[in-house]
Formats: sequence, C-alpha cells, structure tokens
Amino acid sequence: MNESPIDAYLDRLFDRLAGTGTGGRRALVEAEDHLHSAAAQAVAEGSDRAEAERLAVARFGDATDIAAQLRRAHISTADVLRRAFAGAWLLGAVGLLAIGVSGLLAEALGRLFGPHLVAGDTAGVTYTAERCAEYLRLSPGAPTCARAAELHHWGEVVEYRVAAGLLGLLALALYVAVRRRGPLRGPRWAPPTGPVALVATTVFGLAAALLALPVLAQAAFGDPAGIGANLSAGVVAAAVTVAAAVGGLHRIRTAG
Amino acid sequence: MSMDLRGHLDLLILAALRHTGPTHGYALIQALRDRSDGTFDLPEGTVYPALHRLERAGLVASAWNDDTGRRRRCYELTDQGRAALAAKQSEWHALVRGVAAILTPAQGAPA
Repeated sequence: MNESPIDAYLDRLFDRLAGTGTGGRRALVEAEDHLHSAAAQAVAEGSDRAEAERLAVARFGDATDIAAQLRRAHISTADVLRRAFAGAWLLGAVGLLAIGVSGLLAEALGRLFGPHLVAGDTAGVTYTAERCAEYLRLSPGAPTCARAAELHHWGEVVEYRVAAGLLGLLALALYVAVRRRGPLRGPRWAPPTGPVALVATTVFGLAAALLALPVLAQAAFGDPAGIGANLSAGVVAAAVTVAAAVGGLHRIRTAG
Repeated sequence: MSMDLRGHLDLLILAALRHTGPTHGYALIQALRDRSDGTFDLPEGTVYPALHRLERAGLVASAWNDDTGRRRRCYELTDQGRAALAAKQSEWHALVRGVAAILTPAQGAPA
C-alpha cells in the first residue's frame, strides 16, 4: 500500500527534527493537524484525496527548510554550547581511547617484531654522554646506551599511550553514565552527530595522513627502526577516520 | 502575487493574532492570506517556527486546545506582544513614509 503524501512528509519532518525535544514534537503535531486540515479543505472543494494531500504538502514547504527554521527557533546559544560540550567530551574520550589502542597495537608490534621496531632509533641518532648516563640510570639492566634509550622510548610509545587510553576509557564511561542517568541525559545534551562525525573524520584523517608520511619515508629508505610508533598510531587514526566517516554518512542518509 | 516576507513575518503574525484573537496555526495562515487578499502566499509551514520563536521571546503564549475534537495548539498575544506589535507598527509606518517620500517625485521636479 502506498504511503500517503502527508505521512511521508511527516516522516521526513520527524527525521529532521531529531534532537529538538518538546518543541519538535509539538511542531510535528501542529504540522500533522495543519496538513490534514488543508487536505480536508481541498477535498471539500472538489480535489481527490491524494491530490489534496500533495497540494497540502507542497504548500507547507520543504521539510528540510521548515525543520531548520524550527531548530533555530528552539535551539538557543546555551543549547548549542551544551551540545558542543557533550560533543567535545565524547570526541576527547574517543581520542584518548584511540591513543590507548595505538599503544596496545604498538606493544603487539613490539612483541611480534622486537622492541626496536617500535622504540628503536633510526640510523645516525646519537646521544650525549650525559643523556646516555641518564638513560642507563633509568634502565640499569640495559647493556648499551642504545638499548637503554629504546626502553625509555618504549615507555613513551606504549605505556604513556595505554595510560592515556585508560583515561579515555574512564572519560567515556563517565560520559555514558551522565548521559544515561546523570545531569546530561536527554536531547538537550545530545552531541551533534553530524558535526562530531565531521570533526572526528577531519582530525583523525589529518593525523592518519601526517603519520603515514614518516612511515612511508622510513619504508622507502628501508630503515624500520621505531616505525611501529607512527604505524600503530596511523592505523588507529585511519580506523577511527573510517568509522567516523561511515557514521557521518549513515547520519546524512537517515536524515536525508 | 507573492511577496518576500522575510523580516516582516513577525509583524504580520502579531498583527493577525491581534485581529483573530486566540487561534491555531492553520487559521492564522488563512487569516494572513485572506486579509492580504492573497498577496502573502508564504510556505505555510514557516509560520510555525515563527510562532515558536515569538513564544520563546514572550510575545505570544500558547496552550493545547481540543474543544473541536482535534488537539490543536492555540496562540494568543501577550501584553509584551501587544507592546512589541505597537513598536513594530510604528517602525513600519516610519519606513513606509520614508520610502514613499523617496519614491514620490517632489512637486515641480521632472517626472
């Protein structure tokens, strides 16, 4: 059975009013009443039902335009700031979590191919005697300065990243808790899905591209020392980019 | 004929509400169209965002009404809305006088 033009229009309007809360719900009721009133009037004047509904929908205006105007009518600066705050929190948590995952990936690469791949210095890197002494003091079991430096870098590449990831996990858990049951619940605090996906795609995409450059350069020169640090971060950044882009496109499709 | 109403819609809605008294959106749009003799033939849905915006500004108040058996949101002017309407009307009349003064050729000037 074909959906009536009015129902199809109301469905489109409903999709575009997501996140507007009470104001959007009220507008939807008003639109439904308005469209049925207009169609009933057209039927009374001699139009057939389907034509009357099409005419009522056409006269009401484009659903995207009307929804945008309703959004502007109901979303204040405070609302924008609230949602931006929620979006920034979510993005920050995801960013930290991604750093943590890249640390775990770096650790896996290090265990598979040796720590030199993740934390080793490229050929030609040397340290002053004072710096070597500092590295050897921090890693007394290391047989050489280069090995001591590698252990130090391992901490930066793996352990610091994993610590950041744990912080991200905590931030994400807290975010979910306050959105579900805390003071940030409800549509007024809903992060703006489209902008969040766009920012995530841009930031992580840029990061993936920038991280790919040294990886490719090192691969081209055949020097894999420390390549795992950028490779692990780049792979995770690329994965988050793809996920954000897919999520953003899905959002556009469902809204469009 | 239809006219671009951007910038004037609030004034027209407030004025139409003063004329109709408490009413719902559909009737308000019909009143706008009828009173303008069809001149103001705007996309009907644009009236609702304007009404919602005016309500947030405190110029109109609304409540659900189901006296007719249908649940409808009825709008009416607030005291603040009446004052705003008076102010907007003064601005409009001043604008009309100014535009008319420019458009109307001065006496003795070549047409």
